[in-house]
Amino acid sequence: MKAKGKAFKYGDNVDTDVIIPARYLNTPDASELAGHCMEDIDDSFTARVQPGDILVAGRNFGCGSSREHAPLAIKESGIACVIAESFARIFYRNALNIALPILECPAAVRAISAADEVSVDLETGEIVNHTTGQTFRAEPFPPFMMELIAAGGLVAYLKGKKA
Amino acid sequence: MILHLIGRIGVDGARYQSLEFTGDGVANLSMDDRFTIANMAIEAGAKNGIFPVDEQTLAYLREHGAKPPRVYAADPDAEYTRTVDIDLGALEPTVAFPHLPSNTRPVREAGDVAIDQVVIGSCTNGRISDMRIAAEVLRGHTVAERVRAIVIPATQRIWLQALEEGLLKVFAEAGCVVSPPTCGPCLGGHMGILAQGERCVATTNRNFVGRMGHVKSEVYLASPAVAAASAIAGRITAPETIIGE
Repeated sequence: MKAKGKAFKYGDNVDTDVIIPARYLNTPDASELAGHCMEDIDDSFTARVQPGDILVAGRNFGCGSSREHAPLAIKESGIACVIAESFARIFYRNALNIALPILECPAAVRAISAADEVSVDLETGEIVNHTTGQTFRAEPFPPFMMELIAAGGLVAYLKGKKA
Repeated sequence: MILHLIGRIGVDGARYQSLEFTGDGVANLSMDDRFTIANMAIEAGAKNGIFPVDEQTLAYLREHGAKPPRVYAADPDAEYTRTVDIDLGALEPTVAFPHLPSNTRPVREAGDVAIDQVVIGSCTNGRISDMRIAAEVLRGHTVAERVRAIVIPATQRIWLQALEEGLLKVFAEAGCVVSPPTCGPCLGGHMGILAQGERCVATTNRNFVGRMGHVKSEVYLASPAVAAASAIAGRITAPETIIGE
């Protein structure tokens, strides 16, 4: 699984209230949620984001509320992967449950600027900043987690196992 | 106490870890106090906040009809990533300024912060002892004219108990609105949504950007005593100012 796109860069402690504000939680419709993704810290995000783009952030990404809508909104907005220095625990779990690929790589975060052209290879954990020519290595997911992501998330994965 | 701790270790200070609370001070904390602390451990990134099982814990379980528990305790030689000592006797009322629960300072150093709303209750601080503390401060006082004060007991059972103890009357007489148990304003859901530029002192658990309404509103986290005192004064205020030392 590979992705290539432009980087969107944010700071530390990006919380789920800004990823998807609670005033939009009255819908489970992912495309509706994606239309408001990140709007409280970046009101131009939804207009600029393209399928395949990469979201890059600092420490403790996704802290706060356990709302699953947060990774759902990011995934549906077209973001192919989130790279952060670290993730809040509940967000990390939610992201994998709904098959949003995420990687921890502090070195890459420090070296990627907004709008850089970035690619990720989830199988190897390789992150390339094509704008600067730098390459980084994140810990890749073990095979069973890759299977889970490929299946489309935890529920789909377990259904597939049962069949 | 928990705001003080989060202020010291940060909102990811216990990320993917457990916060275990031990010591003389813990033995004197009520179950309600412990629930508040465990609830807020999550705001430090922790997987959980745990306390040693003592007679108080067992009594609480009996009272609530739980089966006799299997009790686990930390090994005497357990290794900890980090130990943080807090002298409860030296703690001052603490408030977390916008927009992170770790952005704390003593109420004494809060400065002159005028407020538009107070929220007392929620899953974090909506237990009967919280209701009693808030009523103690509010009894015989009136909420400041420009402030909306909303009291939210955490459960129907606590709501009823507050009714039976006469606390709801104290709140109503002071000019508060008493809500049924709800997440309500905590996450900007309903009843108490902040408008642009408004400030709220809340006993809830988070104060992120836009948490309680408008992106340009502000939430200050504090204890029920500080929230009640602030409702009366119309600005962030230590309870001692209202009820004396």
